Amino acid sequence: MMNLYIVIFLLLGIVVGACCRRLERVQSWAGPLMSGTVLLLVFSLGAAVGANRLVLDNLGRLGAEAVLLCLGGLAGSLWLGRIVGPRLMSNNSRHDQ
Amino acid sequence: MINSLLIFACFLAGLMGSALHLLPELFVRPVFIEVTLFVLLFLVGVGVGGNRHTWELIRQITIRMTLVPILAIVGTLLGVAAVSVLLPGIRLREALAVGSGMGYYSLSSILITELRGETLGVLALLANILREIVTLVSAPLMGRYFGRLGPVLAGGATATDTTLPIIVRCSGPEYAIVAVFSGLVISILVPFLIAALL
Repeated sequence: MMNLYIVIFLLLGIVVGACCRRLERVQSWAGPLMSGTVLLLVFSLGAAVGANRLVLDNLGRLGAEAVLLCLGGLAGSLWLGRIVGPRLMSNNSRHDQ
Repeated sequence: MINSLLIFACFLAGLMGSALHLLPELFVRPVFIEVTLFVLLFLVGVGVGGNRHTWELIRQITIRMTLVPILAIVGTLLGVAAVSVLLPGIRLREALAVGSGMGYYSLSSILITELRGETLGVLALLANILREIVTLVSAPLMGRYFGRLGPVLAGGATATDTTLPIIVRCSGPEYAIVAVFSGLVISILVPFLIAALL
């Protein structure tokens, strides 16, 4: 159910944003408000972690796993880019020659 | 870079405050987090839908350009799937969800926490902040060894803002539109991908 709400609120925002495109005041409020909610939520994520002994005790392991997942994702996208990239960007890559 | 440090500092402040019992319970109350998350998702949507740049960019799209974000996402998911073999404690879907953050660490970590709990949320935060930092630091090497598209693909969602300057410097100004387009499409897709995977 949560997944559905995520999609609904995001789509609702896109529609409202597209409708209010010309209202500069809406746009000027949306950015700072978004940064504020992000900071608030990341703060509450930190608070939830601080209250969770299991996560706190495993922060070192989580860090190592994060490094692996990050490097795996980067390597995968770079590898695919190396194979497909030159053909994909052939019109755009005079610098490559 | 300053933004990712600010986010990380905020996360640490919450962690310390909670571990030392200095915070009111409100911050970890599910209703508070859910409502704030819905407000955030709505605002992210308003930002995307209301950005004139988005609609101007749509006019400049070529079919080839649309393949760049797909390439970044598919490559990332393949890489993450391969690495997840080494991580027996994490299910494939969970590893893929962390990878689907594509560097959009704030939204992805919050969404994943809400859907799967703090452990995976912290993993998403760390892995995706690292993605941005590694891209910022090694974009010149990526450009040299993996082609000029390399830094764009590595940047993922961040190619539209934080890593854009280094991408333009390493790949050339002709890659600016591709980078902004790819990062923007990925940023829009991140919540959908995570919601589909978890």
